[in-house]
Amino acid sequence: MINLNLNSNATTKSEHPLLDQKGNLGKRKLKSYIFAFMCFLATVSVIGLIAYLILDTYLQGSAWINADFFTNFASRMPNKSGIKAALFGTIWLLGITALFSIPVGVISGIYLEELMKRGYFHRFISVNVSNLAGVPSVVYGIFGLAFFVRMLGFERSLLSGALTLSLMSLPVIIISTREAIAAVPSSIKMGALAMGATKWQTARDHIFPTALPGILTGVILALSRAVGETAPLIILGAVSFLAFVPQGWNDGYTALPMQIYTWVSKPQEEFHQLAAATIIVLLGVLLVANSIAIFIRIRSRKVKL
Amino acid sequence: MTQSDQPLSEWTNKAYRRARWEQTFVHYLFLAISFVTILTTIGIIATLAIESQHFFSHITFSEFLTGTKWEPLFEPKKFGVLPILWGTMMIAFGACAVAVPTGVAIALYLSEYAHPKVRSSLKPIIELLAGIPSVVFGYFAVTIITPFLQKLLPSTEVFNAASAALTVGIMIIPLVASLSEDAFRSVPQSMRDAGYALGATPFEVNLRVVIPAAVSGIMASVILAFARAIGETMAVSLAAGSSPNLTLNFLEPIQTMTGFIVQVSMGDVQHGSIEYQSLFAVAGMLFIVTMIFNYLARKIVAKMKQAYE
Amino acid sequence: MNKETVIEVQKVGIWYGENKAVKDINLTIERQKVFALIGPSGCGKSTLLRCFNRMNDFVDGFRIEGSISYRGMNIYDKKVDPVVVRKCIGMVFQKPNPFPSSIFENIAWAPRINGYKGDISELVETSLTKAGLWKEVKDRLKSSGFSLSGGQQQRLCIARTIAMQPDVILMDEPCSALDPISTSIIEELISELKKQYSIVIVTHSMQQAARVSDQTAFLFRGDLIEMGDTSKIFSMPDQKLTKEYISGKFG
Repeated sequence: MINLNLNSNATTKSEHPLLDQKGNLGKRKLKSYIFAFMCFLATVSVIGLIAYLILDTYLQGSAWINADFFTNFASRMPNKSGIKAALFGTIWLLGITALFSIPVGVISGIYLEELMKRGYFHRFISVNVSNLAGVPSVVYGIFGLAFFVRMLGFERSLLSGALTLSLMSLPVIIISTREAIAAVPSSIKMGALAMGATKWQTARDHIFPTALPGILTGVILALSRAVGETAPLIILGAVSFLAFVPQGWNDGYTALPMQIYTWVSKPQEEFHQLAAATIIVLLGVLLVANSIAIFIRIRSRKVKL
Repeated sequence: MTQSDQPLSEWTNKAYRRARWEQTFVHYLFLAISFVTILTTIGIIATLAIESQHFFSHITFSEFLTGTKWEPLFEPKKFGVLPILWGTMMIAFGACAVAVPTGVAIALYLSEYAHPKVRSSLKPIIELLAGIPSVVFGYFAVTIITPFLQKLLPSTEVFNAASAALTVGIMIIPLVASLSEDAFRSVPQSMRDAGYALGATPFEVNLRVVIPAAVSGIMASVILAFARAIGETMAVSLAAGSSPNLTLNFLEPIQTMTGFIVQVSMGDVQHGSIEYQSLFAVAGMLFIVTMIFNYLARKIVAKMKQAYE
Repeated sequence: MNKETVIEVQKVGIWYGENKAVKDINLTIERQKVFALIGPSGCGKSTLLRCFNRMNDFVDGFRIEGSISYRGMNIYDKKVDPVVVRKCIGMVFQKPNPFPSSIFENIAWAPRINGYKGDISELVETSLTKAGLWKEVKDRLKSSGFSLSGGQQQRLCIARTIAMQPDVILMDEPCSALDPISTSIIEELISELKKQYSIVIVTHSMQQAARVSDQTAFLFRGDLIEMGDTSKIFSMPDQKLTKEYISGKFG
């Protein structure tokens, strides 16, 4: 009646139950191996594909990277074109964005995680932050256009761009700050509170320093996302061709991703190669930023042990 | 001895009062700062609503939602959102068709098959890939993926939905992989043990135990990936073209909602013109759609957490 | 007297990385008997049990020396597939771990993937009956395995194991997460099951070992201190350490 019965008279060595490969086992094992291999293949091919795409970009663009490329402005003629304005624009944007988003983001994160009373209002703000993290960047761009460019009259200036990018980075910074703080062992907090410290003293003197490496990592990741953002800048009216370096927050500007977009949208091969060269610079900047983040994470782990 | 009769001596008392005052001050200061996020949300909703209202004073709501022609830049202007909504959905579904199987397979490999050392070096790489800006993927699409598709299928046009969908798919693979991996890792080991103790192969345990147990986490990652694909802008506007078509053919050019926003922004839009207002109506739709998806994902994740606590 | 050996443990040492959890143990487990492994926590009893159907293969840094033979063949032999080992030697875990699916599916799954040709519903009913759960769940086979109480879940896990028609059933502290009533139901079930299966049970409760087992082995810090008939171990143990443990001096 039951055909997977194994303990009936299977005692002779030749048909030992443990060596019984009869039935569907062979097929099942083959399926299992094929599936495992496919999962492995998926991983390797996606990493390989993206590595290929980046390598191809490098080969396309590397010949264009020289001193002139960094000191020339964009031009109608590919061989006279460079990224000076875009590079300075990106540095300006990054600076102003950091100036606004880091303090506001980190303070909101500390407040939400450590100081604020849990309750309806806390939940409301938390949900709101995670909602904002999911809003597409074009929507931030449209908001920036209506609010900063038109309503506050900042026009198409660095300030409009940087403030919009700041608002976009805020949720990411807040969420990672909260995670870093939540990861601080509660024994540290309890120890400080038990000595009669206020919540704020505990947060300032114990929790914040312990969580700092995690907070910094989150900040770096948020800002590097902002550096690569293009869509909001297009909407906010960053300029495609700019023949000067911005002198202040009131000036017009362009940025590295904006420059890439402009060059990719041109049909000529040379401009595509210029875009590739700019991508190398942009990815280089992001790689350095990410390496710093990883370095901080590893170092902080060592210190704790 | 000196402190026994006076638990709070003079200096602690003073320090205590100062600390309380500081605590209160900091509390209100930080509360005010935290309001920036709420003001942002209010600002987004208000600006989208106000400008959309102007838009809908020219175009009726039903004309917008059911019209099949999106021709905002030619006279007579037509604002039927269906073509660009359809384009957005084509890209999002196409991208998910690429990203979901691949991303889940990667997640399974990382969580169920890879040696811990391999996993700990691959996971940061996958996360690094998630940080590549979307305009860079736009470049990949235009210079590498589209020419490749054209070689493969000669009827592929220069701008086409397939290239954009494929590119967005590759872009969101790290998101699906990373979130699904978290879901797989939260499946208790005891469940796998139960499967293996019954003589199941790893494939059977993964298919019938691990994946079903993690299904809500996978769903959440798929929904978030879908929302991301809907909002994805640069790769799509570079690769898919700007022809609002109601088509099923992935080899033809299309336009998405985000692509339209970029197209109008690149031109010189007059403040107060109907094109300017249409930006807000389209952005409003994007906002609502992504909010719904984020809400669903959050609900599912909360449910999943409940199931395993 | 039927003294057929089912599992023979020869000079088994078990390592987790640098740490030797079990030290050169010899044991024989007889057919259709209940064999209890007792000892204080950390003595290696669960570790040893999980080797009997190669569940330790999933632990990083796990290494085994010596041999564990099932009906005369080393289960760690290169020719032997762990999947087949687990088909012959089933396991019930410390905490009930039903699959996130219906009661019916929990039981039907393993026979189905193994290509069971008979009537699955009949097999489900037989297994649930043997596990003493049929009457309680027959009207709600479609509801989730999680909807059962802890004791019912554990019996579901036992039914699931029985459905695979194993030869040996390993039980890793099967009652430690359960209330006293569920515990006594499962203990009765164990005495019922030994008519058909050989059972190895790990337990931290000496009363339980005394109640359900025929033979007992006492482990301490990875060493086998004493092994023999349960009645003898609990009435006149040879070793002083055993005597101290069963009289509750430590543990």
